[in-house]
Amino acid sequence: VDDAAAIDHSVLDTLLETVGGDPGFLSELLDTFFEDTPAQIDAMRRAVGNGNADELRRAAHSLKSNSASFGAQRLAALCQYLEELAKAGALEGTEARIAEAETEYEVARRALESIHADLSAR
Amino acid sequence: MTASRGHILVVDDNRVNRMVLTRALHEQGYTAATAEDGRQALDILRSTAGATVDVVLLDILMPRLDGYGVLEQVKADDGLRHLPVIMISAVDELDSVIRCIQMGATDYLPKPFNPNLLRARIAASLAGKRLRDLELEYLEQVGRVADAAGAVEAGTFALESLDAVAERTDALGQLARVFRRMAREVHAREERLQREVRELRIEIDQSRQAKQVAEITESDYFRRLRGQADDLRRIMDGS
Repeated sequence: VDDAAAIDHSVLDTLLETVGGDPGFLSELLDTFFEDTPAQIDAMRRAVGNGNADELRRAAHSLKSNSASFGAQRLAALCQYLEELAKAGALEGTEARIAEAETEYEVARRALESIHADLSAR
Repeated sequence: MTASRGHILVVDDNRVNRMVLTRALHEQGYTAATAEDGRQALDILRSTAGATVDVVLLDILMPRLDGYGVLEQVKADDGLRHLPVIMISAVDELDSVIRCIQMGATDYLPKPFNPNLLRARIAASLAGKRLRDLELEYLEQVGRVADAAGAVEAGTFALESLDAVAERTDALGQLARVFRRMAREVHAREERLQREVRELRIEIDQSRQAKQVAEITESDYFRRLRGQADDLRRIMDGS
């Protein structure tokens, strides 16, 4: 998977513009994203284990929102699919989708860390 | 430090969204408070701090109490129902947004956030709220003029009760000033009339006394007595 293609840079540009063009603050946001995402993936797995569709829906929704904010469109699409499955109460097969999302998150994270490093160097 | 253009309550369980919106609002000259779920949002709105909130940015999917629950309670609360609520939503949540707008939400803001859209939606909601605030103030002041009319009839009118309304530069302010002036004139005329009535009463009493004296002094009995007194006076004088 192409790391660079994992991120839509125009979305990141808009995010930077939204927070007043402050690369330091964008770095803080990325740190928060890296900190919160593993917990959200864990929450999704736990929700599936407990058969809790509402909890899966909320965790997938939150990760979808964050992924879309940072331009991680493939990850956002996977999370949206998980959210829709959870909304329909269809938990079967979601574990594999969560694993896919986790893999895609690793790709997106590498791409974003590279951007993060550039921002920190400014 | 420049004055805030408005105070916004950001309600979202997502930490990144709260950070982005708070920062974006500060960049645009607003102050912001945050809540992590619907219950916390309602606690803030119903506290004294809630009175300073001009607009609520409200996520839909949240733990404990979701956006629908918050919206329902806000709209059922007389003190909050006119507060503009902008729903935060992903582009794939349009059905939810429509439901929220049917429930009374003012507008919606799609995620990921666009700064220009955020600016436009907040400005439009604030303009609507300020118009509504002016309308409420106007109605409250019309009520004061109506109360003043009742107080004049009951004789309990206090001139200072219309001071705030009279400061307005519009037609209502002019009405209050004219009303106050007329009430002052009516009061002064009433006092003058009361004074005149008191003076007339005194005159009437004096006139009545004079008439009673005249009735006595002009009677035959009095004339006879006076004649007898004159006779006695002459006898005593030896004339």
